[in-house]
Amino acid sequence: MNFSGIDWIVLLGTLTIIIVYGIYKSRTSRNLEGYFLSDRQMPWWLVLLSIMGTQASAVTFLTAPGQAYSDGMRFVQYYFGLPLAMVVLCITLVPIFHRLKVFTAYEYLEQRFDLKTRSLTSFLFLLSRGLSTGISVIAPSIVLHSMLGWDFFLTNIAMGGLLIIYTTTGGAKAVAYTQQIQFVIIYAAMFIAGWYAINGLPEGVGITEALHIGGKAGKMNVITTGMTEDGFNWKDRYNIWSGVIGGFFLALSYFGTDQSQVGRYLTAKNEKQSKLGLLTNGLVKVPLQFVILGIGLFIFVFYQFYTPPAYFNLSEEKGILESKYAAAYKEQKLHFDSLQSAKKSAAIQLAAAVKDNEASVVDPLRDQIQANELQSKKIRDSIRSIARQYNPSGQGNDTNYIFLRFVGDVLPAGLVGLIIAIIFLAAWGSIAAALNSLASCTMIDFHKKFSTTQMSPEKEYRWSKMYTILWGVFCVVIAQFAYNFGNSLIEAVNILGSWFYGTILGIFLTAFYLKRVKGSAVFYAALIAEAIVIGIYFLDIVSFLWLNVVGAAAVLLFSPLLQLFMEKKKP
Amino acid sequence: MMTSNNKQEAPSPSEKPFPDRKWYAAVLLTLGVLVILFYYFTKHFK
Repeated sequence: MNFSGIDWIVLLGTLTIIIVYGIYKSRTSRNLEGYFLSDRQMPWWLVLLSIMGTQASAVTFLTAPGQAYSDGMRFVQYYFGLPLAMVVLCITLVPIFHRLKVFTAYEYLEQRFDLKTRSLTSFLFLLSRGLSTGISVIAPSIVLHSMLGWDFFLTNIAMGGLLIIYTTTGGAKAVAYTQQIQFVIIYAAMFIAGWYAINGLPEGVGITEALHIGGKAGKMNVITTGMTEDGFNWKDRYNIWSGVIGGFFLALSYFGTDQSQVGRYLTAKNEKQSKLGLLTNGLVKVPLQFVILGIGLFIFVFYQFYTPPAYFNLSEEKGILESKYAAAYKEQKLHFDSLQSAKKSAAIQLAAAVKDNEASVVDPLRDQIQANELQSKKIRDSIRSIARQYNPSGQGNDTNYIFLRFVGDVLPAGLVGLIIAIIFLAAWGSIAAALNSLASCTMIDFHKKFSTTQMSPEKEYRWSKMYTILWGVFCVVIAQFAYNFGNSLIEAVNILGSWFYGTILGIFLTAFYLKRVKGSAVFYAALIAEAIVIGIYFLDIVSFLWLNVVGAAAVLLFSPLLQLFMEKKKP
Repeated sequence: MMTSNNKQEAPSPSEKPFPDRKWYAAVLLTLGVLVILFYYFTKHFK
């Protein structure tokens, strides 16, 4: 992948703007409220951009188009539960958080239950968020290392180090203001990339024809039910039911109980501004995600007319070609390339048939396009298996590289630099919020709670900065060590998150809906729920999205039972 | 930290109360419309 001088200028210019702007906007009161909650002065639209910037990591922008390219648009269903969760949160937790004027979500649990429940929940958060933030650092570095040959460790340090500077200096305020510019740059760059995919289509193939070509190849599978001949497939990751139900619990847990999100909307001026931010997120998230996935769909259609790479991970492909697997790879690639003329011819004929409204021609063409796609998929599977033999830790998964390879092959100099910049920006947006929240929980839920010495606001402020630096360094170190695990680790940490989210949500739901349940009952119910979730995961009964439902349901079931048992035991 | 005074902050006189129900309905309705639209896309472009 060619990275020219102009690309370097665009990349470094964009990153410098963000850092300088972050530091410039970082003036807040030198106390905990200023550092962690921007003095509670943020308007709703900044809260909205901050929430969205926190949720969307670099992997989101790299993976989503690749996901649509290989698996179709059905990934959008993953977000269907989010708007429902926004409504429920605005009715339940948001008013409580504002009324109690909490810093962290877990403070509410001490007031409702006891200190041990608050500390347990905050600890579970620090554990899962700390590890996953380390992985947020590593993921873009792996991709940049592979596509541009950048040194992995130096990229990690640049990715983490620069971010630590403005996050530590400006706290929550710097996080929010930089996320605002990051949002604009990221979406502008993504739309430009999408435009190049559409603009590169041959004459006579417009957006409608492209959607038909993608649709006939099975990529416009926006709504799927997960039903098979044997009934509902519980292991199917993305369908309307796992999206609405599993996605609802995941979003409720993430936005309601994960401090990296709670910390964003607590910066709002008042309850109304928090609600406006969250509800607008509920309005725009699904259509925006649909558009981002749509870019992947158009890239797929683009490659019906131009020969795509048989394997998108550039450095791995080069490695294979220099290894003992080169002959096997070349043979499969030859098969793959030979399919291209059939793909192109079918796509051109279909576009013409759609334009002329010739329904009788469409059916046989659909069969042909699907047969081509099936054949293409089989060859790609063989190539992936060769890649797995060459590099077992890479798992032969090149989905994350599809978008970047397209960018490198098709976009002109300068825009490639902009796309690489958005990887940094998207990573920074989510990591900065995570560092801020990790520091706030460490400071508020542990240091300040358990410290016996009285601290001045200035001293608390300095400690908070120190914790931000320490968590930043921790995440960079995790990223450096985690390199050898490759892509498998990224997936492992996503799953690790779903181990804890359900239980944490269950604790909050119990706090809100089961008024009779007290601290000890919910504490032990949470431990039982955690054991059940991990047990179910290892027995491989359901896909990981359902673990969120299981964890929450287990706490809701066991906490009242334990409460009854404890009440009976009392004399 | 959590304050001992748990009273809700009074909205300023210039700020109208938040129309919760209208917003909730708008969010849910938008989701419903999007799901129907996506279902149409799935069938139409198949």
